[in-house]
Amino acid sequence: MSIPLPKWCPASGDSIDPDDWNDNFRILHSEMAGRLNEHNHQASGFDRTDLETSAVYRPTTTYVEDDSTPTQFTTSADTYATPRDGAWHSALLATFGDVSGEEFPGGLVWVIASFQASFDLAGGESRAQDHQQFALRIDGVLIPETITGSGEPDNDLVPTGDDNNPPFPGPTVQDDGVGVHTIEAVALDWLVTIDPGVHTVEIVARRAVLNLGSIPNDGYVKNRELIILALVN
Amino acid sequence: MPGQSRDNQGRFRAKGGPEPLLIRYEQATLLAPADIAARVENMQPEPEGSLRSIVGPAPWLCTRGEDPGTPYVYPGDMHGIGHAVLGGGQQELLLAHSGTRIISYRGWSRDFVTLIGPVGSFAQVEAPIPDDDRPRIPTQFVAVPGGVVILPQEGRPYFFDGTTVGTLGYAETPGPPRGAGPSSSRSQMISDGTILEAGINDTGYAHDGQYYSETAMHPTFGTGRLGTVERFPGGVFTDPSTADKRKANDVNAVSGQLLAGQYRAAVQWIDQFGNLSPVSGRSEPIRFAQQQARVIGPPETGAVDAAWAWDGGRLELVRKQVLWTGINPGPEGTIGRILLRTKDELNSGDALLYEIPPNAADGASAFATINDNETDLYPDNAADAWLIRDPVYPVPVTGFALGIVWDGRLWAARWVDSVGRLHPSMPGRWGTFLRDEDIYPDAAGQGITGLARHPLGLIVFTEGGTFAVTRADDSGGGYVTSAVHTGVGCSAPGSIATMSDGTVIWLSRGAFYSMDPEGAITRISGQIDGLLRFITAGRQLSAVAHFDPNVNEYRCWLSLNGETFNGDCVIWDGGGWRRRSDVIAAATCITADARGLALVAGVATETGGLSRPEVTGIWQLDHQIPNWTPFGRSGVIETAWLTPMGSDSRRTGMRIAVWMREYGNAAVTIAVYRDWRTTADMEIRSGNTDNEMLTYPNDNPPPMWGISVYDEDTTTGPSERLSVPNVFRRRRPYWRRASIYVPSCEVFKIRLAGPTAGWMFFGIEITEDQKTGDSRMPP
Repeated sequence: MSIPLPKWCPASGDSIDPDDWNDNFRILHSEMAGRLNEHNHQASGFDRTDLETSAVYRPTTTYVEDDSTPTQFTTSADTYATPRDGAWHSALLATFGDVSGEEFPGGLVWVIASFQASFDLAGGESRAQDHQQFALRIDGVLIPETITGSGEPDNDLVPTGDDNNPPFPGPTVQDDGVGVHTIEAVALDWLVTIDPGVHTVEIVARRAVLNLGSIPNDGYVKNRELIILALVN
Repeated sequence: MPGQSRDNQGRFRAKGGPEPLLIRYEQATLLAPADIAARVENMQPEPEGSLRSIVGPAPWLCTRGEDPGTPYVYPGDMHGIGHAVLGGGQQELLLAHSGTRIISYRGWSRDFVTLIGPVGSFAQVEAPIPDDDRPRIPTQFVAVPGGVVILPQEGRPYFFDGTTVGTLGYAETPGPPRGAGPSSSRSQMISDGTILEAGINDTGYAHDGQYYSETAMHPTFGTGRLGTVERFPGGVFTDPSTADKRKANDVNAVSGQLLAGQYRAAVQWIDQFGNLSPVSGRSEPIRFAQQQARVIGPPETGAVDAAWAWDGGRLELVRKQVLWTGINPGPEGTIGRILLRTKDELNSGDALLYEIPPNAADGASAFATINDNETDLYPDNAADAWLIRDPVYPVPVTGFALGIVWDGRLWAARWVDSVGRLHPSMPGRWGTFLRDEDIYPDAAGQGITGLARHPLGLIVFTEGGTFAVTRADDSGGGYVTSAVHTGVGCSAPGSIATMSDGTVIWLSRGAFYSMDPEGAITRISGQIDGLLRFITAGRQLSAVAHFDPNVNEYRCWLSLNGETFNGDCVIWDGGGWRRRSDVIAAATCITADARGLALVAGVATETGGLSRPEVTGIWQLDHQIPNWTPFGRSGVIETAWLTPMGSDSRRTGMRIAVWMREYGNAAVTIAVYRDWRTTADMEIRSGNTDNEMLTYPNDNPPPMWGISVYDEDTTTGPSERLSVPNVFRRRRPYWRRASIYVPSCEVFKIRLAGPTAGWMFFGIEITEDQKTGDSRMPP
């Protein structure tokens, strides 16, 4: 209720009984001591600054980034080069769940990853496939639904193939006309319920096909960013 | 006087039967209301045993920014109210039916928002909601886990989950889908133009894994999964001495044929609240013709264009995938469609429908095959072996008037198409009612008029009978009905309430009944039978009640004397009846939280000042605010007809001492009636200097609000008659004596009417002088 209604309102001439007064205060105290909800406060009654940070939510977030200012045409030292062994490799790792010494209580988290997939057209082609795939990995377990190029309808990096090439995972990249590297923006996200405690979350990358013909192009993961946001209070 | 007595409001009053109550009192004994009162009105028991005049009601909400005593203006007449707490107490809902709208309370902006309203109301749902004075069951708000079911008594039921409101379940049935599968051409040409043979499963929506044939899917998609295949029996294995022979052996080992088969499908909608629609009719079948599993393969060596030929292929290559089209999108609120499909009807021996799991994530645990309400086609490549989930077969949710949650289900009753039908929902799916699960408790076919939870089970009332629904056994399968009472039913669904000891109380044809936890039904309204004779029979259906846990009272508002509203409230405290007249109730509820506030949707009357003193809205009983003063009313205590222990002689010259607790600067009016008369023989009113029945002891008055000053040490001015110094103290009991001269009476009765400001009453004490003179002897 927005206004706790008193039980007794003395009219002029009524005798004054402390029990009645206490009844009225008891209603108010009861509201204050345990029944504060959306109906007790005006819509604009509070400003964010009126509240402790953890008054409503106890946010657990992790943010990591690497190579935030990549140079497009060179491979800088912290750009991740995806090995050509066909295995999944960690391109960026974040530890989640231990913020200010407070362990994540378990629940739904939102993992958001963004990065740039870079491909070296060193051979001078205007169009080629890098066969890079990306995914999210939590505590060493790959999330299959996040694998790029899997062919799912909502997956932007669809398998490529044409009349002359069999379909393989990974995007077809094209020379952007200004250099030998092409860069594609990739975003992955996943909602998952995880256990209490500390967890590792990774962006992983692999070269899906080992032998790429005569041109062993290099694939890179640049400008990597990983956000893990707990959706629990 | 034989028969019955009539009070000054023209109503009959009796206790325990048709005869007037006549009580023999003992002199000089404090007589409590429970001993002698025949009528108690607008008085509430206090913990220490006294009666205190009721206060309030208080308007639940006053208009923001204006005089805090101005009640909020509601859309129209009230027809229902309900309160619920969701999310383990995190969300509190107060819903009401006002005018043509279902409204929801928003305390943070101090107003109500329309959930359901007429076209143009900008409500979440724009639909007609009845608003008239016809006698009808009040709009029901049935709290269920996760939301509230709203039953406006006409049209569709609705569901509100705290955020979204929508219709409950589906009244509509989807149309069947159409199937697209392969058909067979008359012939097939191979690449050199030669007509090879009649085509099989090669036109239409013909997709399989027979690579490089016209029906082949891209290898990325793998093979089809539909169709029953069998390996060629008795394959001839030859000496594997040459490559050709080894190949022939390999082919023999894996090759076979697709059997002729057929599939049909159906559609079911699922809405945002998890409710399922009826299952559509079945589609026309998709048929597969019998077909050998083959591939067109290149020769062992040579160019592509030379000598490609059909060859035996693996069995799975001939399996198909099919397409279902024309899948109807559901009405608003639908969030997914469940596709149902048979297994191969010709070969599986099973013509039942099963839910098709989605091809991608979640598998069989997905909530729907198609998790949207847009697309109208679905490529189906689910193998028969994946069809493991049996569908459920709901019936259309047309409309029903009553609901209650019992045994994990919503029990819906009084359906528009059959008022005697009782139908349980699926557990957790409050708007999904499965076929063949409906129950008709009353074999006589009477309409259901009430539902109640009870240790016996679910109590179902009709107009003339009471029935119990219990689980058939502990395995969870089915329910059975038994008759509890075939003579007593229920007249008003809203009158049903459960006391704190588990006793259920309700109104039935002008009488109140109780059912104790053991199931015994007792008529409890004998004391007020005289009053209930004047109940408006046609309006019984609209009576409403609640059990107030704060004071352990059952209160029922009903219509008397032909009124078109519930203007009278009778109160049962487990031992006797009282009345109150502070509010006209169209509906009532108790808040479903620790406060247990008693709320009434209806009309209260304000005193003075306003041009329209009757105010419609939501009222909180037994609370009051300073700026809204209810219309003046008296707390009344009226005794039964009294006679002393020795009643063989007439009496006269009585004195009474009235025990009260000090209350305020006012006086109680006493009226005395004698010998069955309906007009008072004498009255003691305020201003009677000798007998004035002040509501405070004037020899030692308490401090008074507006008159006394706390801790003031004065003996002059307005406070001169007050004790000094003034301190707050609990109200003290006191008594005042009055002479009531009722000469030579046979019986008498006393009526005490308190002032508007209120009073508190303990009891009365009667003393008399017996006249022994001959002239006073009875005839």
